[in-house]
Amino acid sequence: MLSLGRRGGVGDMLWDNIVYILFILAFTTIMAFYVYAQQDASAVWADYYAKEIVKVVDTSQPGEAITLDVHRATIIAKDHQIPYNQIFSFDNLHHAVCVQLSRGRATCYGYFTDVLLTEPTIELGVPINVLHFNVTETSYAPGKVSS
Amino acid sequence: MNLRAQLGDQVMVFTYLFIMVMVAGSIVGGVVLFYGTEIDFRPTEVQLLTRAVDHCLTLDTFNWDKAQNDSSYFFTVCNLNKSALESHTNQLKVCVNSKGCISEPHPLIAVGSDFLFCGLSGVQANEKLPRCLVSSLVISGKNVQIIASSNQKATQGVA
Repeated sequence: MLSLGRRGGVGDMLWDNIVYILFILAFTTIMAFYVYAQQDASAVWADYYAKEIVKVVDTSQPGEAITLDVHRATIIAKDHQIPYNQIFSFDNLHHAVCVQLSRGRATCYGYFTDVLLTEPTIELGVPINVLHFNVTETSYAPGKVSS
Repeated sequence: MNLRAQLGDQVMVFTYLFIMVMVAGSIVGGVVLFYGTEIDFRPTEVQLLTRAVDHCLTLDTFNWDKAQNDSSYFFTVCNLNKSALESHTNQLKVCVNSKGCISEPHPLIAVGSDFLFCGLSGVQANEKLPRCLVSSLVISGKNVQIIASSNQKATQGVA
């Protein structure tokens, strides 16, 4: 009886340790994936692109056609499975530029110039990936548009 | 005796989980602190706003009398959106021949009402306060003061 009891105790202890080790492995894997996913600094790049586009818009005049190098943004967005037409969007109602490079919500920043941003399109491989959009007068109001 | 030991084992699971949560929280907190710092665009923004106003006031076609009587004229000629300035926590004040634009009760243009911090010394060292730019220029014999401030932060929107 005593030896059976001991065997059961050892078995339980071994099983407990295996469960703990598996739990630690799962935890470490999840945390490693999380840190790896953040390593490309997609949030920082989204913030950067939103503010750079706002800088261009705030110095632009109605009637101008803007072309910007967005190669890095397209690479990060592709890694996060974000469709190209969702990366850049212009909220003409609130006068804001929004950039989404990873799953979740987009980063938006506002511009003060009284213009509307229309027809955002991403052109791939010319030889880099570029974003085209038009700056138009406020009399034309299409609402929210995406690239 | 056995039951007590089993209860002790169960209690240890909660301690173990608590430590896991603490470690996970620390890692997430560290990553957010490292990658979550926003680029401070406010100094550039106040320069852009001052430049836009400066550029439009120096136009030969700018009608000062009309701007004095109708504030919408200023925003139309300068191509600025007043509601966008207000909603993005930008402030703008333009004074003509004023002794002190910060406290001037009758400016040419005022978007926002709290400009006192622009006159405080050392205010730019405090990152929590809005960025501010005070500039003066002489246009057609008029002494014009422009105060622009920005406290805009990037927001999370639906793409």
